[in-house]
Amino acid sequence: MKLELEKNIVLEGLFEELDFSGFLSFFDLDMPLLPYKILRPLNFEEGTAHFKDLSDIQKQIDQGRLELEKVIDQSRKSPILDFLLPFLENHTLEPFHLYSLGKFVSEDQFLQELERNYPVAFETSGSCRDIEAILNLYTQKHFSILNFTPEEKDLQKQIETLENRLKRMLSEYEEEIYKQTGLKMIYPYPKELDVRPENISKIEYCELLSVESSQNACMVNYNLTPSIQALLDEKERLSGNFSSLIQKKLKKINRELKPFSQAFASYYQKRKKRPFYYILLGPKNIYSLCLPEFRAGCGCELKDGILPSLQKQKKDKYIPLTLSLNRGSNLLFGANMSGKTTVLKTLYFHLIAIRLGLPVPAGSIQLHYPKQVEIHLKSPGDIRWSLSSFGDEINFFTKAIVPFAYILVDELFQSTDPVSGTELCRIFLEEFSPKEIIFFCTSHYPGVLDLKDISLFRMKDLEFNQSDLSNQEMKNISFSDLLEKVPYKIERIPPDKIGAALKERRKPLSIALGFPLPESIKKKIRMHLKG
Amino acid sequence: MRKQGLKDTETTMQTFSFIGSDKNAGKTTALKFVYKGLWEETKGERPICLTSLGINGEDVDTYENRPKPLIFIKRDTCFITASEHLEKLAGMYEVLHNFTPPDFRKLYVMARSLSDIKIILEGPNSKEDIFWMKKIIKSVLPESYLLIDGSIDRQFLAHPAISDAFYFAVLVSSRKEQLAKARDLLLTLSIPVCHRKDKIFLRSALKEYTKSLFFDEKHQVSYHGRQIPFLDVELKNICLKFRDRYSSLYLNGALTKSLFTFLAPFDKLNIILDNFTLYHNVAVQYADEKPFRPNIFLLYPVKVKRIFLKQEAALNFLPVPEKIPVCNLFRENIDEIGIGKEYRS
Repeated sequence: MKLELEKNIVLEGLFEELDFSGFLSFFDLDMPLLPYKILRPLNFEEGTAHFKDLSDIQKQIDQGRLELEKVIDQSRKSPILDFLLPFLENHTLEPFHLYSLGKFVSEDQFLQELERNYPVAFETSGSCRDIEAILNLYTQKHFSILNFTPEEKDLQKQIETLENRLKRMLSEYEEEIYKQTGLKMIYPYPKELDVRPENISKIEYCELLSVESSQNACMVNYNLTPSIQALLDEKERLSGNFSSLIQKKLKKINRELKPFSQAFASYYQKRKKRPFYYILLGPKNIYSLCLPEFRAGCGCELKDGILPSLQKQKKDKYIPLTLSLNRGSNLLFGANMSGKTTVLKTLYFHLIAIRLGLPVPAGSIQLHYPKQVEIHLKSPGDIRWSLSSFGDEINFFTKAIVPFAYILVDELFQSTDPVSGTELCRIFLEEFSPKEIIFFCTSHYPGVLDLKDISLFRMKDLEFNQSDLSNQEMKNISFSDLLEKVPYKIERIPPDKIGAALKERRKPLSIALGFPLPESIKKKIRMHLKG
Repeated sequence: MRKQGLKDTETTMQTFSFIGSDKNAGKTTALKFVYKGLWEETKGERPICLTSLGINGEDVDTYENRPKPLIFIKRDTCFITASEHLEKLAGMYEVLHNFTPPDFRKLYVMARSLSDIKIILEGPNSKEDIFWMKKIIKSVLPESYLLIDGSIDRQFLAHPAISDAFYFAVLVSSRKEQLAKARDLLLTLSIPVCHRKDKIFLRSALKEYTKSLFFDEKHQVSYHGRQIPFLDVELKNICLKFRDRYSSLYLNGALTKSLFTFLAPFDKLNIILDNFTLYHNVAVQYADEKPFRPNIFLLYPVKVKRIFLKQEAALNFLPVPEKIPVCNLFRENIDEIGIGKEYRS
């Protein structure tokens, strides 16, 4: 099974950056019954029902009532039948349809046995048994050949005898042509000759051949002897009789399958869902995925959330994300390069995956169902729409926001001057504060920290002190070494710690020291830091 | 009299593809001939499976407006065809496998005939589908011969993972263009295979998307093109830039008129074509033009087991390599080679 996303589900650029393709490939598994699935966002009812089904199956697995590996292996033996369902419905199945249908129903019996503690559509699953019984009656060799009645067998025998006689007679006929004309003909293929070949007179006078001349060549064809023609006619007649008996048999088979076709079609559609669930649960243990737990109230608690693309890059140095967001406005405050944007992207990744019905790479996640997920990252604007970066940001907020949405914004109103930016931040944070949504943004503006009824967070920062700054090692630290020192952890800022948070504003100066700037500039930065 | 057995001694699945120099070059007739020969030689010891790229066996010959015979296949022959061609054959075949949508564009059935039957062959028409189909055939009929009624326009047929060998059907007519096409097809047999070092290098350097690769004698790559070569402006600029040094250009796109004309003066250039189908129709279009100075090589050699002539006019000079058996199904004793030494290159 290959998973693909419907278009425009993920913000442009983030699909590649967050490597959704790589994540979807976790679920790649050859499953003929479900060769691919295009994922689209599930609404609340669909999403909660989907994850309930998944967690019910997971419970069966955990309790040892369902063996996941076995049911996956058995599911892989079932062929896809979508192509034959219209023929089943119209009662016009051909022998090659019966082959696939037979294979499906027989393999499904084994699967049903493995799933006996948690069956798929118990009320219609019996149709498989009934269909198999009919097919066993009318076919042989694992449904690959029709069973023949004595009358049909007799006709087959007669045809075979005729074919053997024909073969002998045609061979003699070809030999005779060769003797008379020197032409080696193979019935029934005609032959082209030069306009006037040397042996044309022999050919023209040969009663076994007919010659048709054209401008460039002449075509030599066959004048069959009456005895051969009679055999061919007889074969045609017998084949016609055989064909007519087989057609009657096929009608009979279709008639007998008719009472079960509707129940089977319904069962098949339900059956197709199950391997999808198995495939979603299969990689859960390998990749440490978890199923989300939904809660009625607004909020989100993510523990050890992983962004697979970043983890792949950082390997052992990767730090999973843990955060707890409350209803309303949540503000993440922190220095540059402390990982604020990564926090937003990690959360966005998980929310999108959940809306698509996928397990997520995290220790656990408890949240209200994400009915809507929007993200705004720092934008250079878009000249196609005559939008500046500020216009683009404002435009983002013109979208309708439904209750229980997740709205994620990076560097809220950093796109304008700090005074207006701070004002706009306050307005939007206050606006979203009482709403039944999660509004989660990052900001540098200290003028928003005193707002009431918002949840404040900050990124844990690089811990520099004065001795670090004068330390020779610190002076020569590389950018990559510096990044390794960033803790990438988020912590809540209690109201009494807001003052301390403000002091963190000098951290960008410290970080700038990690870049290969001219020494004269670095010296001035150090002087500023020393006060 | 020269006779060559059709049966190979190897016991793995063997795929033989049939390519014609032109429409009505007798490709299907050649396939029937080879099928018959294999049938007689194998005596049912190894399964034979027939299929076609796209549809074969239309009722009417489009050129001559005559009814075309369907393919007659013998009892116990395997075949792959589209399901619609089996409607009148119920009870006359055993199903071996269904190649179903959406993996395939439509339903193709692999079956074994239970009696002698007439049939229209139709198989998938894309590289991916043929690859996938071959994988399944190998598992169902591991020791079989697969005969594909092919087409020179389908370049992927020349990929070594698809065809083990070819049979050429060549139309010898009095029409200048048809004769030129016949010469072109036969000329591909004279193109040498590239140097072993180049082959080793290319096998590691080529990607699925590679359309061209420009490199020097030390295998330093100056350009890796993804565009169709004749549309690739950057490729042409690179060729011009390095025209005075010995270089190689690998192409996985046809030598079209514009590209051929553009490359003609580069006397220090080795052109390595991915496969022989890319050379198709070169002489047809450019026979009267200036000499082509680069050396041409092939990455994958053409393994031709036999050439079948369909002769509508007197034989002119045809560049047939010495070691390949030739026969003229339409003219003479089919057991003999229908072309004299005077016609060989």
